[in-house]
Amino acid sequence: MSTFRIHIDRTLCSGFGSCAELAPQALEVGADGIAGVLVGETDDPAVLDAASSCPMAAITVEAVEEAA
Amino acid sequence: MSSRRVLIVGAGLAGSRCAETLRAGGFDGEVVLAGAEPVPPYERPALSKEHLAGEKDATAVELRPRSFWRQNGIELLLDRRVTAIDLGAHTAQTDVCEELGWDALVLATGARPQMLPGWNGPGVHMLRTLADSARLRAELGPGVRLSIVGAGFVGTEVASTALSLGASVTVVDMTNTPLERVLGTEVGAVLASRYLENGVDLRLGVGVDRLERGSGGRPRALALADGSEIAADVVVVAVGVRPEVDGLAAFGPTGIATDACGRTGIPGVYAAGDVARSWHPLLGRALRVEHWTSAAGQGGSVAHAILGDERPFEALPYFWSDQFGLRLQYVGHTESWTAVELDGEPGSFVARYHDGHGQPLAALAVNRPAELGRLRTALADALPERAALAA
Repeated sequence: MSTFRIHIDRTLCSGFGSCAELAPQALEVGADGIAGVLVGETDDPAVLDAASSCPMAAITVEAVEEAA
Repeated sequence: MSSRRVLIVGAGLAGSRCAETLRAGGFDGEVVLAGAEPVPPYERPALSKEHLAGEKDATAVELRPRSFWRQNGIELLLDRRVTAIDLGAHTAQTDVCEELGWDALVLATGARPQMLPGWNGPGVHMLRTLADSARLRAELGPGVRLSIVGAGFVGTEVASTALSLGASVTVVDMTNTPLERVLGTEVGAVLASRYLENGVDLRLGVGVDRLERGSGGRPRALALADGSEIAADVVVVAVGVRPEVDGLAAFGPTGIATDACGRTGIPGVYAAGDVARSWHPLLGRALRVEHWTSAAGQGGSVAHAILGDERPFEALPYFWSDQFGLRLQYVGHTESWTAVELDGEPGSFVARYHDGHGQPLAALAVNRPAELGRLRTALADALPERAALAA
């Protein structure tokens, strides 16, 4: 199973919010309207959809190899 | 059928997002991204804001580092304009006498700003390209008298930035409130107060008769239809854009019609971004929008369609504007509404646009970023009901 590490470039975020809808357990839009990461790593592949849905391409998701 | 060579005409956001998405989706043919401007793809929203203010230079607004394009096998053909397309022969001619072939063609040529007839000349600007923004920036500073024709988003954002640079700013428009066509008079009145408090000279509900020129052909004053004159050193014409279909003789002036995946009626030919008039499945109509989010999403949808993976673009239209210390975020789409409900105070409020049945059509959040998600969800939930009422 893959684990995903999420990074958001908060300077790019325009507050569209689709990421938080697609992966609410991993991403949220804060009171400032800018997306933030709730968990640094997750095994939920929904974060891939969240990243590709971002109009600003502000979210990158990196697959982290699990130690055996 | 797999396409071996994808030619993307237009290296703005829609075109570059299409190219990137093709590669991300495993496309291993040729990807050629041809752009009319001499610079790699960049973020246009900054042209009226951070770039014009001098906070982000030309490199800082590029969408990707320069190495990105080469590393991803995306061939950038910059500084050429496509002058003709032969849909039968699958070729495109450019203004540097090239002939480019294609198996799939993506038209992402964007839009072109409109100049007032006879107004072209020194000191009179439009704002669409990085070069436009740099030229305007060079003329703005303390004491400069700037007149802006057009109280739309470009005009009002330029007004905000120019004030921050020390210019004195006049905005002229035929409409009675700023941003009236999109946001209506109720919201427009709130924004007009904000602009006035910030020192903008607003001349609304009045047309511009002519531009008076002084020495060197530079602007001297704007003569308005009510007989008044506004002294001006620099003029910005921001009266809207039209789809850029020059060289695309097969397509009409109102934009290139596509389905929700960006397919035109011609096999292998796609369109995305400002130039496209695309079917929107949730709204149940075709529309041409000039928003970042739509350009990005449509560019992605076209790439997926070329890859044989249908992913219609069906996100609700969304745009934002930063001006006079306000962040405006608008979701949905409506050109006519029955009622607007405002909730909040002038510096922080929500406006909800309704139809005659009380159904929501669109919403605006002003300095209320945390409410955007809820507003968008409420709109998306209401759409099936609206579609049923319309049927």
